[in-house]
Amino acid sequence: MNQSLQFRLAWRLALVFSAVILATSFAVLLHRHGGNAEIPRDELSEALDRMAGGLSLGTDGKPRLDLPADPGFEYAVETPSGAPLFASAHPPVSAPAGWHEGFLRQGDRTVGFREVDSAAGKVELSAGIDVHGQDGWLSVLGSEFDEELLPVLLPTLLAALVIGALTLQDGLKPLLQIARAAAGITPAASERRLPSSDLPRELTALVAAINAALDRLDEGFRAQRDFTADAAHQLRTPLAILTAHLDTLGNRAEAAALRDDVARMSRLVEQLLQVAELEALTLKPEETTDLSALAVEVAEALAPLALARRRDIAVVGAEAPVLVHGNHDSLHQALRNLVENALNHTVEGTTVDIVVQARPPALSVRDRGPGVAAVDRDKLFQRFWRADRSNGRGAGLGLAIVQRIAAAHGAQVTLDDAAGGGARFTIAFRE
Amino acid sequence: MRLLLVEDNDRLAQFVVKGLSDAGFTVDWVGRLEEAGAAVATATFDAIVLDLGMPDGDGGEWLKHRRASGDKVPVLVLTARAGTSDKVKGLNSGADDYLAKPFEMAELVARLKALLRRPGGALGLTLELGKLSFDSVHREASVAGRSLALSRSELTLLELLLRRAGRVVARRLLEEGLYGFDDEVGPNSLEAHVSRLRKKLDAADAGIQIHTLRGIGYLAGERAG
Repeated sequence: MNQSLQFRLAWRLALVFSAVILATSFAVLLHRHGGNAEIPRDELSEALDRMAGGLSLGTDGKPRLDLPADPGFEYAVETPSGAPLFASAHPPVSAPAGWHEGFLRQGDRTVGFREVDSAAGKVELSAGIDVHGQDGWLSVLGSEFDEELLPVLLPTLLAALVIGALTLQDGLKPLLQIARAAAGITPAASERRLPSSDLPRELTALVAAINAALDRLDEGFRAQRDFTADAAHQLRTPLAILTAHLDTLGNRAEAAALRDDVARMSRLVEQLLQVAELEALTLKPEETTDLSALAVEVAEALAPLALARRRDIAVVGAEAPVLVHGNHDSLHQALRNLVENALNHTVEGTTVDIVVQARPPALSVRDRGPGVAAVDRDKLFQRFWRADRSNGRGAGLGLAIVQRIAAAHGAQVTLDDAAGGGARFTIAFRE
Repeated sequence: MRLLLVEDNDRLAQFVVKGLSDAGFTVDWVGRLEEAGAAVATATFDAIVLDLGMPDGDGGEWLKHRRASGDKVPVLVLTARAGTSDKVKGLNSGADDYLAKPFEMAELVARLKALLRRPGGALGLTLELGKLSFDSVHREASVAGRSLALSRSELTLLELLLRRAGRVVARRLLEEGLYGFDDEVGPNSLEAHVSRLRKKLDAADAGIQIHTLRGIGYLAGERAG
C-alpha cells in the first residue's frame, strides 16, 4: 500500500467525525422520542390553543371550526355529552371519563385533552401528534442536523482535517532530509550517516537503527578495503627483492622473461592498491584540479618510458588552466592508466596525444594503434578483461579503475575511433 | 660517490648494495634508524637511500629531525606504502625523491644520479652526458677537451637539460630559466634556442639527443648508437 499518511489520516478522521455526528444525532433523537421520551406538551398545548381559537358560532347558530386543511396534528371536538362536532381523518381518542385536562400516550400517539368554554359553547377538545411515525422521525432528525449539529460539526471536521494534514506534512519534513542524506551514502562516502537531530521522537529510533546498521556494514566494508591494501603492501617487499635479484642476473634470456613476469605481477599489485584507494576516494567540495597541469605532469612522468620504447607523447591544448572539481591524485592515476594503455597499443614510431579541452572540460588520449573492435567495446571496462589474453601487459584492471575514478567525479568515459586511425578515450566532465 | 642505504630487509638490501656498487657507488648499509644516526654522525655521504618502514621507528620522522637540524644531504625514499598520498607525505618530510617498491635498479640509479646532479650535489659541479662535459662553475661545455662556443642562454638551457638528463624538463621551467635574457625571449624563441643548441651539439658530435615533447617540454639523453 502506497497511500500517503496524509490521505490515511484524513480518511480516518472523516470516518470518526461521521460516526460521531451520527451517534450524536441518534442520541438526541432517542432522548426526545424514545420509549421514555417526554410527551410534547408544548406542541399539544399549542394545538389545543389553536383549536380553541378557531371555534366560533356561525350565523346559522351552528358551531364552526376554522383550521387549515393540514394543521400538523389530528383533532376531535365533542360536546360535553360526547357528541362529535368536528374531527380530522384519524381523530385521537376521546378524553377518558372525568378528565377535564391532561395528556396521555397511546401507542405512537400522544394526545392532549382540554375542556373549554369557547365561542361555540362548552366543548371537549382533543389533539393528537404522532411521534414515532416515519415522517416525524426523519424530519426531526433533519432539522436537528441542519439547525444545530451541522454549523458546529462541519467547521470542526474541516479544521481537524487541515490541522492533521499540516501536522503530518510538517512532521514528515525530516524524512526528505533523511532521504537526501541517504542518497549521499556511497562506497566512497561510507562514513556518512543519516542526520538524527531535530527529528520527531517517532523517527529517532528508526534513524538510530539504520545508522547502527550502516556502522556495521561500514566496518565490514572497511575491513575488506584494508585487507586489499594490506595484502598489496605486503606483496611489495618480496616483489622488490625478486626484481632486485633479477637485475643482478644480467641480460640472459631467462632473466628477461622472468623480469617481464615480475613486472606484470608488480603492476597487478599496484592496481589492486589503486582499487583499494579508489574505494576510499571522497571528493571534498572545495577540491579543484587543473586538467592542463595534470596532462603535462602525466606526460612528463611517462615520456622517458615512451622514448625508451621508441614512442612519443604530446600534449595538446594545455596552454591555459582548465579547472574542474576533482581529486588531483585519482585523476592523475586515471590519466596515467589511459596513457600507459595507449603506449601499449600505439605503433612504434608514433605519438600518443593527450588532448585537453576547456568547454566542456575533457581529457582525451589517442593512440595510433589498431583501435578497438566494436564487439569488444562493451567488455572493455570490466575488471580483469583483456582483448588479447596472450598479450602479457596489464592485468585488465586499468580501464575499470579509470571508469570508477571518472564515475566518482560525475564524469563519463567514452571510446571512439580517432580521425586517421587508432583509439581515442575521453574523460568528459560536467561543465 | 658514497651512499648510505637504510633498509631493514636483509635480502633486498644485499641486492640493492650489489646493484648500486655495480653502478659505481660506494654503499654503506644499515638496518636500523639508530645505526643510520650513528653512520651520518661519523661519515659524510653524498646521498641517502631511506626505507620509510623501519623496525625502530618511522623513516619519515627520522628524516624530519635530520632536516630540522640543518642536514641537506639529498635523500631518496623507498617504501612499500605506495599510495599517492603517502608520496606527498614522504616529500613533505624532506625527501628529495620517492620510489615505490618494487623498483628496477636502473630506475634507482637514474634517480640517484639526478639527485646528485643538482646544484650543490656531488655530481653537480661537472655534468656529463654522452661525450659532453659541462663545468657548472666556469659555465663551459666541452667535447673531448674541445670547448663549445655557446651563448649564455644556450649554456643555461644546456645546464637545465643536463641536470635532469633522461627526464623531461617542462617548457615553463626552461622559459623561466631564459627570462633573465629577456631581449632574446619571444613567442617561439625557446624552440629557436633549442634548435640552435641541437645544431651546435650535433656539429661537435656531443652524443646528445634533445627530444622535443610537443606541449610538454624537452628531454636530453644519450644518442643511441
